[in-house]
Amino acid sequence: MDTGIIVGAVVAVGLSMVFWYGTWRYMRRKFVRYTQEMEEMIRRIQKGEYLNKEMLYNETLSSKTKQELLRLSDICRNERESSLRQKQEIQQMVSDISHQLKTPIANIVMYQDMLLSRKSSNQKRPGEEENWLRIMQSQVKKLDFLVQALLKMSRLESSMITLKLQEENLYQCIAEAVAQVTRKAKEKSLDIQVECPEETYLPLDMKWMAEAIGNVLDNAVKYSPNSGKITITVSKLELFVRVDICDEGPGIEEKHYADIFKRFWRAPGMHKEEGVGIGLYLTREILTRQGGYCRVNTAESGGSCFSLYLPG
Amino acid sequence: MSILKTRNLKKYYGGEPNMVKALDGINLEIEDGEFVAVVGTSGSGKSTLLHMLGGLDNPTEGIVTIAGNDISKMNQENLTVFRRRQIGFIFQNYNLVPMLNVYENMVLPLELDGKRKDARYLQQIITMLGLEEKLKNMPNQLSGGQQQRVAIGRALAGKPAIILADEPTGNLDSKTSQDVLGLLKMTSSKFHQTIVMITHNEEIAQLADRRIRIEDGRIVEGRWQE
Amino acid sequence: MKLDENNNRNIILHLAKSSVNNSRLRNFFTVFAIVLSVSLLMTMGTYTLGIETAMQRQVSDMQQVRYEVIDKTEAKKMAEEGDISYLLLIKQGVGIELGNKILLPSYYAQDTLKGKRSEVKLSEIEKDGTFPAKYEEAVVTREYCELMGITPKVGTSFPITGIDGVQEEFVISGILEGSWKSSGMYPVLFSERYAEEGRLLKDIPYSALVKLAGGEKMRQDAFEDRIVRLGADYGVKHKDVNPNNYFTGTLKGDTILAQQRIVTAAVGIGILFVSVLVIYSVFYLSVIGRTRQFGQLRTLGMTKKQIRKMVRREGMFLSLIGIPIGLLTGGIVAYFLKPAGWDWTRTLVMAVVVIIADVITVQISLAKPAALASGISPIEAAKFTGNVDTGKVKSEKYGTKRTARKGHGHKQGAVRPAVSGKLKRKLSPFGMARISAGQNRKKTFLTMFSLGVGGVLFMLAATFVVSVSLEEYSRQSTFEKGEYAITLSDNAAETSGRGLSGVQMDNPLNKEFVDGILSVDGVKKVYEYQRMEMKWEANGEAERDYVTGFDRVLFGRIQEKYMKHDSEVRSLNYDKMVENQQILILSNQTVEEVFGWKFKIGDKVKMAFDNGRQTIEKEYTVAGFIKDSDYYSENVINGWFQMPQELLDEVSGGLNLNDTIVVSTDESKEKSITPAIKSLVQENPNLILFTLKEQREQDKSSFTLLYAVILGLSMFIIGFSMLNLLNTLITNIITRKQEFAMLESVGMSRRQLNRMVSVEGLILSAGNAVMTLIAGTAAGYAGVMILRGFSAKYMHYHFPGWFYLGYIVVLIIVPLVVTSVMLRGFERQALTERLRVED
Repeated sequence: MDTGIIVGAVVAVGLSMVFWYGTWRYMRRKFVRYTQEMEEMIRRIQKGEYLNKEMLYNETLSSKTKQELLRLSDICRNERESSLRQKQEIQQMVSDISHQLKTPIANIVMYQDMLLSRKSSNQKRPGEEENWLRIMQSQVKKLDFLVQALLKMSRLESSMITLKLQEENLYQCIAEAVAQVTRKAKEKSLDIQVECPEETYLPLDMKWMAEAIGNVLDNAVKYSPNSGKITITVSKLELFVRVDICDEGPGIEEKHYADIFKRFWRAPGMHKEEGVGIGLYLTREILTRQGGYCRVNTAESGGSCFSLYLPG
Repeated sequence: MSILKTRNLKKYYGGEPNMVKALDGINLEIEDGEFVAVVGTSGSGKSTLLHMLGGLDNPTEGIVTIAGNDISKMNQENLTVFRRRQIGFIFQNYNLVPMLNVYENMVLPLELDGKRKDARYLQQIITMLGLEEKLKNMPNQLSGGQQQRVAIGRALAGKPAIILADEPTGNLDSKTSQDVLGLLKMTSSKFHQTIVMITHNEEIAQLADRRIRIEDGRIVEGRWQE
Repeated sequence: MKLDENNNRNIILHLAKSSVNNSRLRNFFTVFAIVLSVSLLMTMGTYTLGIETAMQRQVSDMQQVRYEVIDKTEAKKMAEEGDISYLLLIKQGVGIELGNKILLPSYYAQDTLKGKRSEVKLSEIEKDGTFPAKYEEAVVTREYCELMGITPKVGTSFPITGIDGVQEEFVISGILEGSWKSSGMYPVLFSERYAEEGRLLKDIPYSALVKLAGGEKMRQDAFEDRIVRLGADYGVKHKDVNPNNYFTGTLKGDTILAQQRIVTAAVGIGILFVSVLVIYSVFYLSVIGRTRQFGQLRTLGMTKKQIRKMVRREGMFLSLIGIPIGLLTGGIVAYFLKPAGWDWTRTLVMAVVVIIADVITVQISLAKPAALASGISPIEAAKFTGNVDTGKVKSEKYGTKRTARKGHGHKQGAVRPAVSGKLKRKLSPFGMARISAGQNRKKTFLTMFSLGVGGVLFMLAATFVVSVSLEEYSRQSTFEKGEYAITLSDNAAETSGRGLSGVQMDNPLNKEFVDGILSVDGVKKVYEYQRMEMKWEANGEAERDYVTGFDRVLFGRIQEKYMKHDSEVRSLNYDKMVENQQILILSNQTVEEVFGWKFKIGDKVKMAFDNGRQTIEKEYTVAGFIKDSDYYSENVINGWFQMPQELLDEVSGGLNLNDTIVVSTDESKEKSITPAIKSLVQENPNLILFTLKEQREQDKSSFTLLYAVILGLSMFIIGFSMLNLLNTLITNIITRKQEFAMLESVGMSRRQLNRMVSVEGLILSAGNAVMTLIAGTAAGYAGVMILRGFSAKYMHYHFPGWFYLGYIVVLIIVPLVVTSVMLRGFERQALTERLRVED
């Protein structure tokens, strides 16, 4: 009877050992296969190859892991591509800038040549030289303006600088921006009205924000008719603070709403006005970098109305 | 790199003689990180397009490729899992799950996939959306704007390849709309998130990097990036 | 479960939990249904088991078998058998009548031959007394002493007069414990010596009370087999083996026990079926109401499997709440129904069974709704049902699915196949209610069906109640032809010294008596029934029994009943039977139960008759068998042996064989007839009177209980139905809140709205009423016919009009009340608020 128990126990232990060994072998094999698969995928990512995207999205753990690996490979690829794109963008910018610089420089060179050739020939007309010099001066000014703007843009664009967000008073910021255009506004006898609570503290970069508002204001001043009115209204939303800048100018066609914030874009038929189509682009960049956004629509008076949104 | 591509996408309803061509050969390519607005009047097929892009419905013809996966070939179950991992939805009527609180709603897609939650990333989203105080509230205790913010959070939480927003401000007043749009914009720039937004409103569409106009099931403007 | 399975199970649990927390109404109905079914099952199961347990406990201190006639020395030998655990010798003498009480001379051995005396519970002697040891000592009951005017004290001497009139003196050695007041028998215990030598007991054979070791675990047939063999080994005849039927009734393999269990199980399955219907429809509606929500979850990437799981988990949560409550209530009710049968182990086993049964039930109920939920297209969520201005493209594919929502005719409007046939349908509240009901045909049908099942069961119960003719039930056999039955007392027969014949020699039921009865005003007719006592011998057995005669006419009627069957009775001929001395055997089945063998055609039966003048012995041949159920209506007194009247006359020698007379009367004169007959009967102590009136009262009380049980059960089922109706109505109203607000905003007055919704509810009720009427009537009729087939001849189909009317009233009132209460609830909210979409 005892032997029966012993034999039974031995058989039971033996069977359970076989069972557990079998289970272990099975798990082990699965695990090895799984790690090999992962290893292969990682190796390919390292080599910069793209992973085969045709995978199954199903309710398994390995599908989840594979998907994360795919995402990793996407991120790597994106980084490569985006650095490439950045390079291209800088090239594009350089060519854009050189294109923009070409005209004033060509002008200056032309008038300089004329001045020089004038000295040798004797066909002088009174005041002609001074006139040319004036033109040259204005072109140099334009050049200076351009270079300044391009500088700002490139610094912003190439991420050379970062915006320092501090709790600042938006009111002061607006005041600073208005100050920049006061002289021009006076020339056109414009009325600039500001509606803003004096204590509106927001996380913003004072200098760049003033620039952003200033650019919009500049635009408004430029397109306002004489004795027009420009209103600046600050209102608080739940998450954002909105700065509206409205003028009584000709307004912007709806189909160009998305275009005006593009680099070097100028409204058709507005070429005679001073400007290079960089101000609004800068404004948008600055706002985006502060976590805000901007948009334009047409005011009831027919003028354009820019809204700048700052996270509050 | 384009994250979303459609080739000759068609969706027809009904049969001859009164067949309706909701989509009639859409070719579209959207870049990674792009914020695209699809504009069209009601009945133009823009919602159908969104359904196709999100794998909610099968096209009659054509291919939809998202993050390299041809979703028009997937079966229902794989498509569902795909949606859970790669697509975030934002609807006009928010579509929050009424029985879950704000936080639970936000992490629902993660939970559905049994994923670990990236606490710091979630915190970042919650702060951005201004929902710190509301996490334990139930959806019916929130205003429309707040609900839509939760929906944005939910769409972001899973780090999807693409967020599809269907008239996200359609149910909101103008003030809250601006908040919601601002958040979408921020989402796009801050997280380099690809967003496809459907709207009939030009004013809203201007916020996007690119605008695609669709009429009678065809793209009439903005097919390719300029 | 696969090794690689995704680890995303928790959220499903969480969602299910949240959903459970969110839909109170559905939870209430589901939990209620679960509680109802669990508690019913638990009560029934535990009660049935309780009865068995109580019985087992009761029989545990009873003898398992009694060997009626056993030799003392054989008994001692038998006690040596290994499987006998208890053996006690007893004697029980012939009872001595003391007015309406009987003194029973008995002897119980002081010491068992095997086992402890306490193993079988016998009446014990009060403390100050002792077991009778001396010849003249006896133990009596207190009640006997009272009756005879004896001081109930040890040492008191008292006389006992035997049947033969001889008086003996005894001394009380003890008093028997317990109250014997209600008992008709007063035992008197004698000493061992008296049992051996005393006049009252010496001729009485010993009996043995026996228990087998492990007998309670044997199968019934094995047990019976064993006790018969044991008896045979020690000289006990088969007929003297008297198994304790209470005990054998608790053994495995008992047909009655099995039947009880089958009936319980069948009723249980019925209850489960009804609860499946309720839970199914509750969840079905709940899923339909959450179409959008499931759509949302599908959009967010919940797979079909996950949705299915979620719905199932919801059910499990509700079961988790409902089952314990149901188990508790059921257990408590069962306990109070049968406290003596309470047994923890059995209750727990029953609880486990009920839990498993109900979990399975819930899962079955949920299978379809879960599949429905998982089949919801993700686009359901993308669809917007509120603002018409935003006008979104809706494809027809999913447009038709949501029948309750009316599509706004947009561009795709033209493709809708569900165009109404007419340009303008009748848009009165009634018309709109009809359109609405028609739009959701499946839902409507489902509700009607599940309501109908309840209604049909109710009708079945009601039909049973109204179809039982209590009068006919009471009039079965004895009272079929009359209202009074007067019969010879058995006691008289026992004490006459010559048995029944002894009484019949001076038969009180004589012509004079019958004439006396007939002379009572209102008595219409008197039927006389006869039987004759005799001793028979066949197959080695000898017994006392009675023989009854049948005449030519009666034989014709009996034969009639067997014409359609393949039976030997068919070919018998009355005259031939007389000529060949042939007899018929009634209930051969009983013969087998008693002796272990059956009469066969051609068996010879020797009979010895004592007709008062002489003893006649004759031999008869068995010619056929008749079933007792076919014979009861013909003759109120039945023995095993039936013979042609001529043969009986041969042996009766002019003895008045009357045994019972049945008196047919004019029932309107009952008041005067009863006392008259009573006084006539009381003149002779050997006559006993039975009246239909008493029988009716007795039957009525037993049927009242049965009715209560049946109606109670059907009320429960109606409860299920009403639960269903309520759920349907309430869900219907809640989910259409917005639609109603819209109707109001376009100018539907509250009264019109109320009428429309009420009519929708009433349509359901009407459908149910019709279904109940048709199916219930059919089922009721069929049920009555089936019962009649089982010889319940007292059932006659009647339509349960009042019950049906009551049911209809409830069916009408419920929708009206629910509608007006619900709509009043809406009023508290502003119209504009209700118009808003709510998710």
